[in-house]
Amino acid sequence: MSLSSLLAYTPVLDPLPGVTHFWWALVVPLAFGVAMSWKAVRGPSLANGLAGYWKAVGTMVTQVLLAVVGIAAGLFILVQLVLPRLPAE
Amino acid sequence: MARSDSDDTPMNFGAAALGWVFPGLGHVMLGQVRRGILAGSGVLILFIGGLLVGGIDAVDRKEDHLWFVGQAGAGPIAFGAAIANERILKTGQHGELLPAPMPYGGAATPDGTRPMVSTSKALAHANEFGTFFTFLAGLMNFVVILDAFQRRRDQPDAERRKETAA
Repeated sequence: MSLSSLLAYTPVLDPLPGVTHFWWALVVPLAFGVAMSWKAVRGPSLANGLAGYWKAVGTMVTQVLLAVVGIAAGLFILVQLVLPRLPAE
Repeated sequence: MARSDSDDTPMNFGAAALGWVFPGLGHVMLGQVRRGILAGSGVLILFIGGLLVGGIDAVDRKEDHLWFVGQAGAGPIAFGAAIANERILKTGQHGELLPAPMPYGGAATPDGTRPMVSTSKALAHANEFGTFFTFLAGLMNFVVILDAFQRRRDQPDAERRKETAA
């Protein structure tokens, strides 16, 4: 992402420049938004403060990230190690 | 508040409608302000995040019609983004309109002219993630709306969990 492309960026109107280089990191805000909504309606009681809520959100974000990393590792092993060893015909 | 015939589950049509008008507003109407703000914030983080990543081109009810079906769950903000896309980007009010490279959708328009696309149109990862974020915002708001639809006013959480498990 060059400085000129960043300076030319108009938030909301233009697409974010350089997303191609860090698209994988977008899973973090994605998991955070989903966890915030989900734990608000299906999480711990909010009557006694928000500590339990934020802990549940953090746990869910961690679980989602670990699941995504696990799936990525599994697919890497399948594509890079297992499939090349299969007979061509 | 209407009630179903089969059990004592409430059917909050007003809260569901308000939840669609603005994420989390249905819970606020039921007196659960904190829950509504948190649930709505999650939906808005996804939707605004999608617009920041993909621009307003991420919400396009004509070119990405099926995606828009899900995005529409986020309420009027999704329709506003789609209208802004049509009025600002597709008219060249922001950015520049250029002839689309051929082939575009297989062929030129019937009158032989090439379709024009904005230089602010999102491509590749920016378009994919922008569309996906806003789509997910619509789906999560649908979940929040369903919860508001069947949640009792000021219902304690422990009691609700027992009902859900039963």
